[in-house]
Amino acid sequence: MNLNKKLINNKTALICLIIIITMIILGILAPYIAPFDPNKVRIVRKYAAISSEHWLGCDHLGRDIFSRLLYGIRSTLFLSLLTMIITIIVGSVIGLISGYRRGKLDECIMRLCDIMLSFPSQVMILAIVGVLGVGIENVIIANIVVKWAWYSRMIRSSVIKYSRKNYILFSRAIGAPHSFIICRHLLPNIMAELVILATLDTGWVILNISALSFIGLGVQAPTAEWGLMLSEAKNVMTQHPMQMVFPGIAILIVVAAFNMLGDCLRDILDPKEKTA
Amino acid sequence: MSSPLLAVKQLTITLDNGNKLLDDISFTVNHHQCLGIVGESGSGKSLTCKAIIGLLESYFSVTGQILFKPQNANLAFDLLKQNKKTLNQMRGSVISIILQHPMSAFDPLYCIGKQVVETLQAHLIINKNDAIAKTIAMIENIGLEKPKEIYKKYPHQLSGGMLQRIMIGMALMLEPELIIADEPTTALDSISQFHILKMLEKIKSKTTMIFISHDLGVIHHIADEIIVMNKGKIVESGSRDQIFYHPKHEYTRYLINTRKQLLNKFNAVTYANHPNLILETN
Amino acid sequence: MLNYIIKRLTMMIPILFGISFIAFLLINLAPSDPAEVALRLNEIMPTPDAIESMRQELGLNKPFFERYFIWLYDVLHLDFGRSFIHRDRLVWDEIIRSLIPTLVLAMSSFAFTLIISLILGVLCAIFANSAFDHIVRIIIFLGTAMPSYWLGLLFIWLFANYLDLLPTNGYGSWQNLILPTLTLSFVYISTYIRFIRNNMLENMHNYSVFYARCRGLKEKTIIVKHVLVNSLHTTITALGMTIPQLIAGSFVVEYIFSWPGLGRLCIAAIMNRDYPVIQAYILIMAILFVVCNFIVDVIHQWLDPRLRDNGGAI
Repeated sequence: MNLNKKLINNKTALICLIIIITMIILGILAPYIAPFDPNKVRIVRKYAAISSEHWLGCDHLGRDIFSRLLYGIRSTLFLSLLTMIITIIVGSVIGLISGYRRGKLDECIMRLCDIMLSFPSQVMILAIVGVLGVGIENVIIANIVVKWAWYSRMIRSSVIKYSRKNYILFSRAIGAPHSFIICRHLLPNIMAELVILATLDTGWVILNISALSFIGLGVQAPTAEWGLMLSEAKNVMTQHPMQMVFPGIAILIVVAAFNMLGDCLRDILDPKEKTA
Repeated sequence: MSSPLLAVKQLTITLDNGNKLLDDISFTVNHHQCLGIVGESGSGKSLTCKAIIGLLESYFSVTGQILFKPQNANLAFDLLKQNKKTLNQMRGSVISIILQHPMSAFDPLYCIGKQVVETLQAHLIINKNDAIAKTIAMIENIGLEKPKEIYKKYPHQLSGGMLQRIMIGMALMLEPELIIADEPTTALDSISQFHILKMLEKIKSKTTMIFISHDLGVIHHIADEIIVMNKGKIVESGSRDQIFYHPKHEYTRYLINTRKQLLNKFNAVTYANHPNLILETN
Repeated sequence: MLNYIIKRLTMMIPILFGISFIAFLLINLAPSDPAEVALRLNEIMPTPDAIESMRQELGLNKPFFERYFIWLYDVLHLDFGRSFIHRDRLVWDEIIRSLIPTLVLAMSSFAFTLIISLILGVLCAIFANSAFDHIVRIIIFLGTAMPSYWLGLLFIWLFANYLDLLPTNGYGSWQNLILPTLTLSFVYISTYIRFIRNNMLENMHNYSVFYARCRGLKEKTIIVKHVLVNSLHTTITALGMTIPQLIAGSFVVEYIFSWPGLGRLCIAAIMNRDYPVIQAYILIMAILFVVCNFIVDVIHQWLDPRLRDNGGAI
């Protein structure tokens, strides 16, 4: 595909992509490459300095920070990716229904989208977590509720735009099933836009999930999660400021990689936006 | 009478990638003369005009000379070599420009009068009240009614023709030595076009003008000397009669023939039953 | 213009009504029984009898819509009920008490955002692609990727622990305000520098700016009157909407700096399942949002002569 080629030619995009893929692989392989059990408490190692044994030192319970960071990929990054995947699926399905059916149903869904899009996402997330209770599942649900409308609206307008195109009318005329038309013709057309939006949103979701975990509304201790690690570091920051360095950098790198990749993708796929 | 006011010599404009947009353009404009530049869109007409007023984007590289008042050794200077400030002072006061799209040329957020006043104040040492009085007098002069109300109107509240008149009026206010009209009638309906042309004809006798258009009819009306441009080059230049009645270059002939054919067709359709009303085909 | 305002105001009524309904509905969708929660919070054994009497007290045994209208009637009289945790405290009092610190923080952040992003945005646009522009853009980029809570922690460490210049937390003096304001504004500043910069660069290519140059106006006049003012018109709408976003988004910053604001109140309420407080928070935020939206729209309408004319059109 043309996109792949352009992506490889764009150095920044390539670097970002490599960072993200490396992170994902590290996360998958965490149990095999982590030098220590991330939750094993060893009080004697409390605040151990950086050494050849503990690459990034130990935290207030003597747990190995490097191992916790590796396992943290699983909670922070993978949960964010999971959130995005569900959001895209939910948003796409609703958008497809809305765009294909039109009529009253479409009208209702779009008004609902308007409300969702105009409401401040932070309040919405707090409201949903407040109702459903504290916990990472509820944070994920809240993020999905906040984000789906963007995708629904985008997919809907693309469906409407493309279903008037000749080759789609032709497919319909020769009796191709809807599912075939969607997979074969619509999705490839929407893909570019979808990928850009999803990439940029992933950074946002990572920040969000880790922030809520930091506050104590998301992932609960003792799970290794970057935001939660920072929250633990916060309590001891006066004496041990090094504790908050690595989780913060980890979040910064991952989010920056996603944002940068999103920007590059937009430049690659949408040259007219390149004015800046 | 025919001392040159502006002499463009070997003007060449190149893009970063080596594309030549203007290739070796040379012409002179004499005092109290109207030079028409004809060509299809993309032929480099507007680019030439941008070069004269010094508003080319920085990614163009320019060579050649644009001499202002080349006759007078003391006053002559190359417009391409002037600094931004001098050029800025000259624009509007010494060289005025009338643009193609009056509807989008004015800033939508300010009323018309204010935009005229700010132009006056940029060039003259004049207090605000005098500038306002002058503006209102100008609006009256160009034949618009209720000048005080027009003064307070925003651009979107006026028609294209009215805005074009104001633009012309504003161009004349500072009594420039050269007026460049870049397709001033193209974006207008035919009635406004007619009025604007009448206005420009009147002005013509008083100042020197460069009139850019793709419309041969308009050019025929107003220009004394004509340059025909195609793909960044001058293909032919000469007096109006020479260009229209004895075109030498193939491209000029092609342009004129196309126009004739159009006009004939138009006459055939419109005046089929009234042969005595047929427009003169030139 | 007046027509427009009236039209918008009448449009707001059903929206506010809808919001109140959603706020009420949300709490009723909660998986746990408010009566039971209220009992547990007050350390009373939730026996069936106790739950029943608590339901009576909270009015939970009436039909749904009746309860909604009773609740709405109370809310319109600024009565949000009592907190589950502190049965002697009125939710409204709690909200008002925390609203002020949040507003203080939001306003100072807004002012800071406005000033810094305007200055830097305009400078970046004027000196586009210079070294200055590149440096600012790198900072902007970090600003959008930086977790705000981490930034807050770094600020605390740098200014309070290391340099010992500013207090880490608390509320009351201007010194207390500095770090939360810096932290809260950082993301927004990044967003708006970028917004203003790109918008101005776009406007510089406007035909009317070209004409302004043709008229020989001074570069300064062109940049200020014809580029910046035009950009500000689009920026104002976006900037206006940051006020509710700042208020809503301040909860993380409030948590880090122990700022006694609405966000912290809400987080505490969520942890304790203190439903009346959560409900009041949602409602107040939504109303704030709708009202800000309205004000911004009216200002936008009023500033733009093209919109001012056909007042009714939205």
